[in-house]
Amino acid sequence: MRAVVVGGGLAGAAAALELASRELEVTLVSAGAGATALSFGSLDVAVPSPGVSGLPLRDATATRLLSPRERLAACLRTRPRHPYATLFGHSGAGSAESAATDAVKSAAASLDGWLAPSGLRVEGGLDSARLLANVRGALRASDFAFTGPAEGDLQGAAEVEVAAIAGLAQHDARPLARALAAEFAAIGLARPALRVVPLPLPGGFVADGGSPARLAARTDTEEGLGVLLEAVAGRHRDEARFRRADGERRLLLLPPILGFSGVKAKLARLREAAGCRVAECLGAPPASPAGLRLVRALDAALSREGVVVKQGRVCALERTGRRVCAVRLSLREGASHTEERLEAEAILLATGRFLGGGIHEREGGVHETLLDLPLYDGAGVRVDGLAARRLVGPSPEGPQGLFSLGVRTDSCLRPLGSDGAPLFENLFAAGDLVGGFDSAVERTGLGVALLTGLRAAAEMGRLVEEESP
Amino acid sequence: MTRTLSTQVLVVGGGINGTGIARDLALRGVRVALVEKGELGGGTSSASSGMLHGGLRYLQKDPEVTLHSCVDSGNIQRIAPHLIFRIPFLMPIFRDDPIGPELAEIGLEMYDRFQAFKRGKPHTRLSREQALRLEPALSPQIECAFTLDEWGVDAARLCAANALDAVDRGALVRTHSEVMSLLQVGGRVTGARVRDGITGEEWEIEAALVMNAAGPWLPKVARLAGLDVKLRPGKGIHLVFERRVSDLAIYARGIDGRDMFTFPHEQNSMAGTTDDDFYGDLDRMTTTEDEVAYVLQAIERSIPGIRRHRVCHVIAGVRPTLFGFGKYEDELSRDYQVIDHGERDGVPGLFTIAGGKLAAYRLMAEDASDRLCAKLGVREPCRTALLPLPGGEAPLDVAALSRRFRVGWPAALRLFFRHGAHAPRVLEQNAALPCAEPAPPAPRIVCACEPVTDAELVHVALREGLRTLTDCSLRVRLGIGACQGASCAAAAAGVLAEALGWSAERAAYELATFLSGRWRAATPALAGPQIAALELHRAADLGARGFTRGDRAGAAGEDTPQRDAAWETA
Ligand SMILES: Cc1cc2nc3c(=O)[nH]c(=O)nc-3n(C[C@H](O)[C@H](O)[C@H](O)COP(=O)(O)OP(=O)(O)OC[C@H]3O[C@@H](n4cnc5c(N)ncnc54)[C@H](O)[C@@H]3O)c2cc1C
Ligand SMILES: Cc1cc2nc3c(=O)[nH]c(=O)nc-3n(C[C@H](O)[C@H](O)[C@H](O)COP(=O)(O)OP(=O)(O)OC[C@H]3O[C@@H](n4cnc5c(N)ncnc54)[C@H](O)[C@@H]3O)c2cc1C
Repeated sequence: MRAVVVGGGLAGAAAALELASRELEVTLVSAGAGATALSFGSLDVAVPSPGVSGLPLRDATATRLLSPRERLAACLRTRPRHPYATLFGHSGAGSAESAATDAVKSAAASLDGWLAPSGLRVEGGLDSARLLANVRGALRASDFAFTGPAEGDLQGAAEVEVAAIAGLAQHDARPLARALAAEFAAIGLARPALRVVPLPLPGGFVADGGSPARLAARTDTEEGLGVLLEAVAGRHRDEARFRRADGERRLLLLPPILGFSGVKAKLARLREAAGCRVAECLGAPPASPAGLRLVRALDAALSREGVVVKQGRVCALERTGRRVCAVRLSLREGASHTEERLEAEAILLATGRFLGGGIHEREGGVHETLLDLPLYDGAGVRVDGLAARRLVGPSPEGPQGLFSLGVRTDSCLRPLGSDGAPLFENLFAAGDLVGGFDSAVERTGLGVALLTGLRAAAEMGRLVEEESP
Repeated sequence: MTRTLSTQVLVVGGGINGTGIARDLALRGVRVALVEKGELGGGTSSASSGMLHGGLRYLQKDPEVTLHSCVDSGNIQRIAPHLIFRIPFLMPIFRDDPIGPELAEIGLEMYDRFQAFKRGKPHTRLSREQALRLEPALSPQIECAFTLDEWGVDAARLCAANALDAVDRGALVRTHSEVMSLLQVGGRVTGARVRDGITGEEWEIEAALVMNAAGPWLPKVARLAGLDVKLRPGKGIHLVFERRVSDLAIYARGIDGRDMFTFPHEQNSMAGTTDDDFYGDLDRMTTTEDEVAYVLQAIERSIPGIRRHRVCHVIAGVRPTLFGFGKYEDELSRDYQVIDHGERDGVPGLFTIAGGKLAAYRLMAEDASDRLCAKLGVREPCRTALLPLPGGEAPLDVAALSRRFRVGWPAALRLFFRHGAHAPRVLEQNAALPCAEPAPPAPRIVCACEPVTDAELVHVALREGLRTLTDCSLRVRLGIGACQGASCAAAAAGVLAEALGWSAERAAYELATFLSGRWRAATPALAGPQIAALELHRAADLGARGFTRGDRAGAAGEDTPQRDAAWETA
């Protein structure tokens, strides 16, 4: 009596955790890091990319930022092929909308519960957007974010100190501050006072060459954190006195360098040393520890909740008629490989897109990796078997068949065949493997992973229960 | 408002021919201005294979070209030793090759006689087993193989070095400045009207002589004076692999029998090239699926596993080949011509240089400059083969450089490659930064593929007249490796914004322009594992964008770097 989840990104992990909480026996197989490990530190449910997505960020009179709830509604209304429409129904009626908001709220609460023991919280909500800055000084009107960047809401800050760290690569405080000022002008909001504040770190603390990853690892040691705390406390030492807003209205914005664990506790100590609020910027490759933090906290939750996790690659699924009945996997143990076969009552594919490995190109055409499931792009056109280079547009901003493709499912998240009927009774799909959306544009990536993962788990649970005597 | 300027010679085009001529003239004390509509070397020169080869290919039909190229390759090695690298070639022979080992060896023996001019090693013959031991990636189907020796160069950097030397000797060099029309007085060409593509400013440059060195665009420039110069433009592409496929260059044969090769070029490997008549728009060239398939098919015969390697981008260019009718592309002459339009068309004041090879640029520039100087009555002899290019003055202890400035050995090595003896000067740039700490920190690695440091970016911005982020990929090879800018372009834009006083809007414009350029270069050969890389690059780009609209004109004037004080309020 067991469920097998293939894929250890957010979609697969959330599904496995949900199945475990329903006291079902569940095994998760993961071949390693996918897109989740690369994410920037926000959990985007509906945060469209400004100027690219065609989805609104401001109200009709452009005087006010839309709330996340309103953006989610707009996504449901205008994107009939988005997985949200599959999950909640595509309609202008309020029912889809309220189903979606309820689902988002409870999903965020579940995830928060799983991550909190690792010191990573899911902060935010659908009622009002937070304005978070990334390392380049771009603003994101975010709905949910993880501890670290989540504390950096620029609304309500009267004064923002942008920390400058000499010798740190991928981070330039002055252009960041200048970009932030331009961002506030672009959205027409009053901006806080912005100051660039050098952190007096001792020579050698930042490695020669400036690697941010090495600095992040350093703050994971008590000694390294101590050095940072001291620098934060002493940052105004050489300055003449000047007027300052009180601590709650002042924000110190650090680059994303607070290591890979225990961020919540680190922030509390930093806040004390700084005498004001402290947050990290949202990251950007190659220097964002946020995705790894998320993956580590998910892994910790999986082992806490008793999910059996196998590090290995599923190479094939066995089927009988309209059912899948087992997965074959090849397991890595050190240098040796072993084969294993796992029988299953229900199987979830949460194998991601190209970065995850759920979809790849083979013999000159794109294919779903394990079962060659039919793939559809964001416009609903069937594309499996077509060459990848024919599915890309002339510029990165434009619509891309290649990065909106995936399987199409019914509302239970069972992949559909070309006749519109589920291919298998007990096969499910979640996360980036599900097509019809472009996560870089609509910025609904982790949101889709979480919501589809949980829905698939619920459906799998129901199926297994129905079938058990 | 139009600015005017007057000079003796105006050179149109900053490719290898234009920059070579500007340097040659400046060394003779002639006042020169050079305008380039894009970046130095951004036309054909940087799209070449970057080989200073003597042209084994031309030996049969054009031994003259082979000789010129070999002799001058030797000269370039002397004046810019830092910019060149030896490329050992492996020429596998297959049983079904039309030319068997015996005939091939005769050709190579002949070529050996030219090798001495360019410090090349004579060929050797390897058995099948020896060849496979040397390069296990080779096809086991080979019968035997030969080695031979060529030299490679960073062509864009060679253009920049020539331009910089010209500037050091008083020339004016301006990129992103396009000749829109030629000034004419009574049938004589007396200068040109130039438009700055970034600021929109217009210039009038008066000159006693105008040298049209616009490469494949030269017919268009000649037409501005109502003249007809015919070329037979031949398009060629290269696939660029994200890293070395092999440290050897390996010959391959196309389905039509043409010679092609994969070869190591700086941190990457390249494969090419094609040669097809081109009738399209030179400013909107794209690479087609057919071209990519044709090259891969050829390479696959020599290196069967080639498709497992990732092609990170594609380069396309057009050869400004002299006109010939009724010949196959490959049979066309690689010779060159200097045209005096006074003599040929009765339009004095205008010259055109057409055809030739990168490898022979110095000789061509000498010839062209001799002609111009004769007109100007200047009697100074050419000294371009004697005086080193900037950086070529002396060797440098790279280990000491690495220690002194605390940059890693690979970064120091690559910096020396691009800047030669001037490398220490480049690293000292950091001290000049406005926000430098009491003790300047070690240079930061901005682009890890190449690698490129922030100090080098500041140097090219402040000391080399670099004007856009996109130009960095030619000037210092930023963002053209595995990541195609995804992990370095934003940081580089930040460094340049600081150095050049760009506004946030300008920085956003530069970044978006850079990344869409990389997208266009990456997608024609998109396949296999490279797709996941593109997915990551795009998510990184779009996922980090904000609300600010990019604006090229939104620059704080570049000529007077100006800082935006708005954000410094206390
Ligand atoms: C650079 C970048 C930044 C992003 N930033 C954000 C952000 O800030 N906020 C946000 O909301 N979204 C963001 N996204 C989008 C988001 O990361 C993805 O939409 C989301 O992580 C997808 O999760 P997933 O679980 O479906 O897939 P993945 O995370 O890709 O996971 C797929 C998993 O399947 C496994 N797998 C695949 N095939 C097999 C097999 N045969 N056997 C076993 N295991 C297998 C892989 O090993 C991997 O563990 C970002 C994406 C990228 C690329
Ligand atoms: C695929 C390929 C491979 C090659 N391989 C080799 C090789 O390995 N070895 C070798 O020796 N040779 C090689 N060549 C040949 C060599 O690249 C060319 O002969 C040489 O680069 C031509 O230089 P150029 O200065 O004449 O032209 P370009 O480099 O094209 O320079 C002309 C410049 O003029 C500018 N311009 C045009 N119009 C205007 C205007 N109106 N105003 C201002 N500026 C203008 C353009 O932007 C351009 O930068 C190769 C060529 C190709 C295409």
